[in-house]
Amino acid sequence: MSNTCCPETDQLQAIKDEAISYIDSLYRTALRMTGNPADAEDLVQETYLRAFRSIAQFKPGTNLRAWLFKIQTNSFINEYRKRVRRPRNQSLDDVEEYYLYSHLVESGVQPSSSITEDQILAQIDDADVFRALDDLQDNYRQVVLLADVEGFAYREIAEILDIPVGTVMSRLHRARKRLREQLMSIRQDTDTEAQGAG
Amino acid sequence: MRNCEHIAKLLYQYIDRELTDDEHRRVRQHLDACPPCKHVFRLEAGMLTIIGEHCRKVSAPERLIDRVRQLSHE
Repeated sequence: MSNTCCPETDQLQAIKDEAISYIDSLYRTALRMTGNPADAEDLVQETYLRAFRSIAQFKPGTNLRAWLFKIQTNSFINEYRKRVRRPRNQSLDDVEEYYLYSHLVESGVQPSSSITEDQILAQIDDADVFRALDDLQDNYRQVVLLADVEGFAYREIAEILDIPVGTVMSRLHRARKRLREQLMSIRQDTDTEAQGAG
Repeated sequence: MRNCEHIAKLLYQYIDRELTDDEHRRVRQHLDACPPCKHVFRLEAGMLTIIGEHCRKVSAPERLIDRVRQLSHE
């Protein structure tokens, strides 16, 4: 019926259907931000509830996925974080700039080493990645998820989080350095254990 | 090497494709000519790819998708 009598309703439903196609992105981000599946489901449901209520305000032709992430981010900050006080993690103020550069290049690690980049990276598994992300503060984890998992551009992330592009870049820089430290230390631990076992 | 430090500062923007075409080309030329920087680049880019791949394995539970579909028709 509605197909012939209510084109506007059909158009809104089409936008809602497209919005639902982004549910995996919203859920995996919510899961990493809340730290547990039940809260992640609540946050995503709340996000869609708000989005559907204000769907008429969405401007067709603009970025629906970014619009949904902005709603979810606001829900997370305004509702979830007020309710739940997750003990949060170490400050990134002391992360050395260009850690990897100084650590690898200046300490003389050479690309001709017998261990290739692929071999180093192959030792990192799901649990390592999730643990390293969970150790980041919310503000830093958020930019990594938006950039490296969801593939948003700097200006889109700035829009979603309502912060300047320069802040996006500096947070990304610090967060990735910390992830590098964490993930590389896993690799070193593995190497040490392997040597010990041998 | 001073140029290597400059490249290190631009590396994330290079990986994220956020540089101008000219800057992008200059970084690529340096990486092609500098094995230590190329090694760092491969590790950085590889790590970010791995983080993305591992996280993207997670999907929304079916019951959540069903609930949201219902909400969309209310």
